[in-house]
Amino acid sequence: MSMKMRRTSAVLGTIAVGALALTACGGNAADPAPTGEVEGEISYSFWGSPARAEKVDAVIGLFETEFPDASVSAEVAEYYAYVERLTVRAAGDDLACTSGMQSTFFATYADNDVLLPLDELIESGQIDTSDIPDDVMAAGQIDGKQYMIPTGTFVRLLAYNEELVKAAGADAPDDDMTWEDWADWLHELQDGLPEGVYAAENDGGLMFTLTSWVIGHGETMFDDDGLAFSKETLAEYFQYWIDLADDGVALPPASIPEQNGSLELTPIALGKAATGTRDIPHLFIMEQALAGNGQPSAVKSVSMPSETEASANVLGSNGISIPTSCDNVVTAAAFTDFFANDPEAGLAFQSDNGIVTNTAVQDSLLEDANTPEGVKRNITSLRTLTEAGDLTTSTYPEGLATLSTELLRLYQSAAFGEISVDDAVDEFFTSADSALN
Amino acid sequence: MTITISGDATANIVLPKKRSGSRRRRENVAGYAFMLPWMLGFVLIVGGPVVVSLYLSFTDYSILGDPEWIGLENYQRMFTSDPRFWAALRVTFTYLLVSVPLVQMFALFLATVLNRGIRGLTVYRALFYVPSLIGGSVAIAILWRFLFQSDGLLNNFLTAIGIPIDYSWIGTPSTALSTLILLNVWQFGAAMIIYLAGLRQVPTELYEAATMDGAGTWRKFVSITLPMLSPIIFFNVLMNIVAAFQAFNTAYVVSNGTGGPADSTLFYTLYLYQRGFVDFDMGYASALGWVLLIISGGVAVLLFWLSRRVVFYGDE
Repeated sequence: MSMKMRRTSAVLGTIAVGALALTACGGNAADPAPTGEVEGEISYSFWGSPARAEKVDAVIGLFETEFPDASVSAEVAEYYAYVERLTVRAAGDDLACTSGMQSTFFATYADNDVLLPLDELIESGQIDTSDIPDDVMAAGQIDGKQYMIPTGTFVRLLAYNEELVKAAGADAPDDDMTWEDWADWLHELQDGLPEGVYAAENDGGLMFTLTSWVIGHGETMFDDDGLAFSKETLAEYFQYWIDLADDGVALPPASIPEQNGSLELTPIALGKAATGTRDIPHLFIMEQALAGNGQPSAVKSVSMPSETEASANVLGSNGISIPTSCDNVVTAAAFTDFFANDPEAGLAFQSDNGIVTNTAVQDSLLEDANTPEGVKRNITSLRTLTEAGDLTTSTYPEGLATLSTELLRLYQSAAFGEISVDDAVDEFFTSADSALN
Repeated sequence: MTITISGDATANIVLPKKRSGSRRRRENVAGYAFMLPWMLGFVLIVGGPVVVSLYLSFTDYSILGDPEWIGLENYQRMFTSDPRFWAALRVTFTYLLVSVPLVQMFALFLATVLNRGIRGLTVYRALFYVPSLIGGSVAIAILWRFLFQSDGLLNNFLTAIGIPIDYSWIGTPSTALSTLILLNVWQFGAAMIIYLAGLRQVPTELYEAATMDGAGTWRKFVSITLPMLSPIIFFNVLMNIVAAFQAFNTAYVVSNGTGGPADSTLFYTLYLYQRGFVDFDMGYASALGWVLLIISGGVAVLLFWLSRRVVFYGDE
């Protein structure tokens, strides 16, 4: 190697090592329960629409009035862009001091020591969680440690278009169905539906519906070793949806790309399917979309089918986490506490990202005349499920995004007959081994 | 070197004064100073990450942790136990081998037609060129989706003319890639403009001589137009192949980022993106990047080797 080449290599090597060092340096882990004044500047990053950003601005305004020495800058992005950026920012120790998280992906950060355990802050009273139910708080925990304060929650249920069901001459579905009952009901419904309208969307490649299926079959989705359910359970799940599609009851697999678009363009919202699985907060959006499409109907919901006594209504949560790299934990904790508990902030935010978890704020919203009807309905539905104990949670490990992609791909491959169901299941378990370990 | 012609028509070569060493050094420094922003940009923004990615390709690196050296494991996994890698290669090469020739044929055909001096040439040229400007955009990819879904514009049109059809062209593995190939072919305008410019450079004397020798339209096209255009065809093919290897936007939007249905639109770049930015398996994604570089570099070398045999430069 010539001197010139050696020098060039040295320069490039230095740059490479420098770049690696920049990404590899860990955050300055903050004191678990620091004390001090609520002051200085922090950021709050979250996902959502411009309308949500306006509501967050209102909450920040209230916080800054309460704590005049503190200021919060808001950083908003569309959901998928936000999730993508989150990891890149985490790698650069650049996460906002208060970062929006979700029960489906916060484990990625908690497992890699990016997030601060909040237990000390809760014990010290800096973050009050007394008005958030325990089963909701559980959605922000891993191994008993609280990494996310759930501020908005969502529950997966079976949604149905009431007008289409009535017009088809079918009885409304009930809360105590097994998956077989539901399939029978869908066949009955399909017979009365107009041509071109399917009884159900096709959830064969959907991770959240699989989660309900697994839990409803008395199994658990994940444990410390990876997948915790049997291959037979997944094979039955794939076959269930393939059969429904073959019978013309569920949308054909070719329609799945259309099903996975924005909520307003999904088959239920367009009146092309009578039922599907939806989170509670989405029911009202479906109704608005149907009305906008000239097919007004109430969109009602029932519990997810279950083969056991256990509920298969899986609760997830959106919330706020504080990264270990945050250099102003006191103010971050104060803002998190304010966002989760302040009644005025709750009224300003109007339960915009999941159903607000704080029961006192729920009361305020139910009493307030300015609260949209859909928000009141969502809160009431959640309370009904909570009181009936008809909720469950699931842990979502690091690697869930990979598994979700794999589930969809392999279901489609099996549904289009490119591989057998058994091969699809085997491949899914192999992928899971790699993704989860 | 300057040449001046004296009044008595005697050529008098006047050499510039030899520059002093210090002046030459100053000029060199100035030259390097002007190059510095580009060089810094290249080293820090392109060269640095490229070198780092080579290192990362031999590691297990999830962004959030430290890279862990695993030697050739990523490459071994790619070639021996990753069916999606082969699926991505198959999709990318199918796309490349079908769409690149179609684009060239379509572009050359229309350039030949437009070169006949038809009225409104500038209008047609502009109209045909517009898809090249907007075709690769996210907006057009979304439009494509709405065009080819089960209740899209195509099916509505077919239904309106008496061919009722409920078929999702983008949701069925056997046709999904074809819609993306069609979108690429639709962007033939850029290649067409280059062909049009090339056709204008072909000496008319050649056609006149061929006509006098009794050559027909097809013979003139095969024996004059194609050889004279061969450097331009080579350029267009090379550019299109490079673009095909880099195709991403349309597949990402049309398949919701999945490469589906059933991996039928899993372009190599989309798979690389999934491994890097969905799975955050940056070590594996880096290895994929290097394999793509080697493959596309190999194809380019092959093309240049072929060009020595099939490309005709006028001065040969």
